[in-house]
Amino acid sequence: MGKDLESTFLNALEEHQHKLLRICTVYAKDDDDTKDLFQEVLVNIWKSMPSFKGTSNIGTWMYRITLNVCLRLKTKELKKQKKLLRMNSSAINIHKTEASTDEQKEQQKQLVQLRKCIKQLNEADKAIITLYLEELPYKEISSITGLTENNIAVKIKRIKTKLLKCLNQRS
Amino acid sequence: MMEDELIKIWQSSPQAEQIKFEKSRLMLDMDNSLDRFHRLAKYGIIIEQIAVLIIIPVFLFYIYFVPHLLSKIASIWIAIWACWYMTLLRKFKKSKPKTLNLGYIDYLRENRTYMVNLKKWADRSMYWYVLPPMLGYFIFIIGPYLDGAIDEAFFIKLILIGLATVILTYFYTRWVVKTIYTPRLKKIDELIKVMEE
Repeated sequence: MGKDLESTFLNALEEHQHKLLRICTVYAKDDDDTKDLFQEVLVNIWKSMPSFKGTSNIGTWMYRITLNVCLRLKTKELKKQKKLLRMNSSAINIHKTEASTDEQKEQQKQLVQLRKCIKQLNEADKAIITLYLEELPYKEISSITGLTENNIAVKIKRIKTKLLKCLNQRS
Repeated sequence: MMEDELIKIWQSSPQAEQIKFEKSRLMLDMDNSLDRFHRLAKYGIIIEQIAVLIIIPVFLFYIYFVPHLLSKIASIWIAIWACWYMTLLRKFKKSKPKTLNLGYIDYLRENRTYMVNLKKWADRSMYWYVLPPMLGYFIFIIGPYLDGAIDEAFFIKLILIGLATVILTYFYTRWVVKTIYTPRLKKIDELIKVMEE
């Protein structure tokens, strides 16, 4: 693939990596799984780069591929594919930093709880709520999922209620 | 907890998780992975295609080489079946959903159509994958037996091998349908239903 494509990919990755990783976390079982899923997502985005027409936002396009890959690769299958797809290098590493202040510790605790609650949702709700939490407009969520904006709005309201209930129960 | 707080909590993760990658190394790994991925994704179909590519010339050769009439007829039959199977494999290869760029629900629907099609073929595999070549096999071995080229004991052994192959293939395809296609289709159907609710 050409250098232009490579730099487009790398620049978009710099910009959206954390968002994509956050989506992967709710579809993965544990940290190792998250890393494998994230790598798989990157491989598929890279593979699809030549088909990116530039008519839509590259971020939206990347979310679309991420969700489809997450949906396709369940944990069990991912384990099977590890041997085939694992990149045997340290090109990608995900480091967890320890929270130093009480506020950070509380924030990390809440994040863990939120992820647990999202993981309990069905695959479709997971997809919608992760996009909502990334603050994507309804129009973009609609374009990524293929649902109407009204439908998205109704679903988000329902999912948020579920999440808040789950979080309140946990805390 | 307020609704707006959800977004704040969700987006706090970059502070807790840092992704580090070395660009040149990443690109190198990507290309290597893709090569392996592409090779292995096509593995199943390629094996079948290679088998068919071996079967066709072998049985075309048998049409001239084998002296027994029934074996000649069976060879023609198997070669025709192998050619048809080759076209079917190409059709499977082409119909596989390739693009990940589709919207979530469209991606689900496309995968469902592909999976339903494969399941349909797997369900009926006895009639197109097992019985036609096995029928050819049985006719092929009857030829030399009737002409006295092989004895009864050996003929029975060949029959038993054929029957065992039919039974094993039948149960294997049942297992594939039950463990691979049915649960995945069920999951996809559930997801589509949830999305459309």
